[in-house]
Amino acid sequence: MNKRIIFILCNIIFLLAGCWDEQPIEEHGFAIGSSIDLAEEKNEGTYNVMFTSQFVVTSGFGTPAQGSGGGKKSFMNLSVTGESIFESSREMSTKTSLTPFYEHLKVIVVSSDIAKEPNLFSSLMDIFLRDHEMRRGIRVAVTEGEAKSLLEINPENEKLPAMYINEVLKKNAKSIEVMDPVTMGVLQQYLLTKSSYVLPMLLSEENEINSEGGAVFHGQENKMIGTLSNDEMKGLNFIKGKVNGGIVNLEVDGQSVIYEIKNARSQIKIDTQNPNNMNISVSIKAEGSIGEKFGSQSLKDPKYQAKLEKNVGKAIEQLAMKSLEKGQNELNADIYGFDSILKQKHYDVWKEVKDKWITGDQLFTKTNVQISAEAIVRSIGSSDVTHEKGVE
Amino acid sequence: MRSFKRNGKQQKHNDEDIPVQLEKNIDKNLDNLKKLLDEPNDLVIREFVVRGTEHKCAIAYIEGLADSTYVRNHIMENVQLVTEREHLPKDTMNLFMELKQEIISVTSMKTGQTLDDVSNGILSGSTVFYLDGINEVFLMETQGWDKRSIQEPVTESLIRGPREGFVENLRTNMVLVRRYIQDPNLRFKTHQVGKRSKKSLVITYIDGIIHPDILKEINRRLKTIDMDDAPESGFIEQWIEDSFLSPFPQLMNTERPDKVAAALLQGKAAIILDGTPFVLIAPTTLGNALQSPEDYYERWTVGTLLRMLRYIAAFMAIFLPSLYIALVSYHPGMIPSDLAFSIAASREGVPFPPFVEAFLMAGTMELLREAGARLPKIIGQTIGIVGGLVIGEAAVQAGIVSPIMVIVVALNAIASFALPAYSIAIAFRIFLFGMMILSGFLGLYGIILGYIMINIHIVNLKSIGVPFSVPFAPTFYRDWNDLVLRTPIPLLTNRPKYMQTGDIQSADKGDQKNE
Repeated sequence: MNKRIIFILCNIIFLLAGCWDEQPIEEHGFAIGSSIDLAEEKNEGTYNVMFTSQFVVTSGFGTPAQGSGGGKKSFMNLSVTGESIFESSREMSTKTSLTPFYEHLKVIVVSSDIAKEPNLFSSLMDIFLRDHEMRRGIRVAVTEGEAKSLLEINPENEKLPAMYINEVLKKNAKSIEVMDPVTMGVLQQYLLTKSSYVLPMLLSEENEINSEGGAVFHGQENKMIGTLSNDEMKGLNFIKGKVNGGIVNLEVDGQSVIYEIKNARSQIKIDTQNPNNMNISVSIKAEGSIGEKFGSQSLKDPKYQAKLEKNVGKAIEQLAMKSLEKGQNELNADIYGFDSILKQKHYDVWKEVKDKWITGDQLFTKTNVQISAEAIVRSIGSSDVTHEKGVE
Repeated sequence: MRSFKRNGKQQKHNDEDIPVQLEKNIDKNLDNLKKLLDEPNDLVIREFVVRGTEHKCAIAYIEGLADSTYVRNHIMENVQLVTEREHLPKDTMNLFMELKQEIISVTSMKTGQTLDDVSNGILSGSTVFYLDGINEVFLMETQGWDKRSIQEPVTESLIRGPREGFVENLRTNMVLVRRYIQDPNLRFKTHQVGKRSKKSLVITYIDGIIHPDILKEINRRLKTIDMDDAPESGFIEQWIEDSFLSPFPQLMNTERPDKVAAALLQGKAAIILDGTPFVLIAPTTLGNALQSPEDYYERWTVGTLLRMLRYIAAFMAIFLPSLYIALVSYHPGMIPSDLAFSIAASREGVPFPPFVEAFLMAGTMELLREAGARLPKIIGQTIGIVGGLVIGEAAVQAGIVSPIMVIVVALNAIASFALPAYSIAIAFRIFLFGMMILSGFLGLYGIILGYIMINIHIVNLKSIGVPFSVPFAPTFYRDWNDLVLRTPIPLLTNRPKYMQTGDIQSADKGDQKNE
């Protein structure tokens, strides 16, 4: 008797909990990209934002047997204006037959108008960190002008604009002027530590998207304060030591040479003897090969090679200095991660200077940073010289 | 005889305690035999006299069961041509002994005293020799019915390995095993099963290797068998298995003598039943069910890879469609984006939820398999074509199922065909449907629940007292060298520890130094 009751109870578990959350895959509206634009500023500190999501229209894909989707559009953009993103996404679900589903969200593009308002950007990011459907691998980018227009371009080789943006952010990590894509998880780390950071900037040009420089966010002011040009991005990446490829242009004996970087690492040492006037030394070590060379100098000549390596080092130093100047003097934002090094390696000093680093005495701008770069040419390419000296 | 008359026919089987003794009078004896068998027309009774004497005698056998040429050449001729001998004793008893010792030239013979002995002997193919005035008979083994010759086993074919398979004949099967193990300790112990069929059942093992308790337990269980008939070793298996509620086969059946020989050398016992080529191996573990003799015949790298493949196949055979159901209808976020979109695209317009879709397809797969198995080979191919077309093409074109579902079901079917033991593959099909229901109701959570339940069951299950999950749990790390991995032959020096064999080593690398 007792056993029978237990048996029935066990089965009721299935009947009660069964099919909870069940929904066939084709009824989901897969959101793969979102954009946030500023609609209007209502009062001081409250805003209306336009939240746009790009949904995959799976029937536009078509099955392989049927060929491509027969000219049908494979995506659908929905925009809703509201005070909060969650509210907007709820309203969005009333506009479509599909249930919005954000687990496949790849990119968020934020308009610079939003980023420039204090505290707005970090508040809007809250839902992407809080909601259980959001992944921590979502890539975040900033664009000048209307962010929605990026989701409306018509890329040549991809069906989905959001996927295209995602690929652009991902693939370009091989070139030095573009930064590693910033994911939601990393962004949260920045927001929590109140440190300054850089997000990739995107520019849309008809049917193309370009990754151009970076948007600098100030940790304390909690807003976007400026942009970095491509060269400044190069310098930033060299100082941070996050280089996995890319090129450096330089001139040797009046002939231009393209140095292709395989990888570059940096070592940052902070001398904290005088906390109010710290010395930071950054030594960069680059390895790479010759990608292209004008002129007819033989690369086998050790003297020429030494000169070449020296010049590459100088070029790298220049790039880094230029970037540092902007960060220290113009923007007053420690985007180079010196604060986290202080925190990790010189915690006692950090406790002292924590409140004086950016604000107050502005110790960051006063620090003396020395940059030295060394470069090695690992390979000169498949050929030594392409034409004889005299022929020029 | 009196008791026979008094009790009547109904009692003759049940009343085994009071055997009916034979008479001295040959006519009465023959009458009783005829009455007992109700004078079938294949019963041959030949009455004659021992040549040169007045002694009446008779032989009786069943035509077809006994080899009549053999009977004529070795019994009749010898008895009828004894005239050439002069000193035949006149005394019946002495004559009887003389016949046994000098005249009848049959290799194997016994004497019988009761009517039961006679009928059992006749029905098993022996020839009975009556001599008037003696209440005893000779039972001469003259079996000679038609039998299948030794062929390659159909259900367990190998690319490399012996091509011999067991046949229906018990003696032949015993010979096959003996040929593999020429060890004086190889034992064959006979039981009789079937109250009416009186089938011989032989349990074979190697004395000194097998653990005595296992043997005792098998013998005890075999003795409890009380059926009219055991037409196939499946009856024996189901009678002596530990848990009849479990979907797992707890004894392995095989048609391969090499497999049996290997099992005997591991300290297991084999049960050979007369009339079936399927020999049972007891006890059996889960690991055994996922290995094939070919793992050992090929080099160890190949063997190990095949083993791993089979373990993966086992998981696929149980979980693949249920994983598809769970991911597609509960957790689309866990599928890589591009795959998720293309699954969604291919499911566009499919009217059924994934669970129904999967059930339809898996059900069709079962139908096809069953239809194909029962059909003659020539028509069987047609079923394959029709099935392939119906499932692969028409169903997708008609929009009843999605193409990805077809791939999933096909993969699942292939995985279950890749398992070496048909009985375990069939058991996995049961789990497959259970898991599909669970995942249809509860998603991945259900799959995990089901996986845990299956594991609990496996860990609880025993085969003749030996845990089914050994050596995984209880853990015998030493035996893991022949489980998922198959280590090189020179390293496989010990018999499985979990069998607690008497003689531990099966090979010794140290011996090589003597050569």
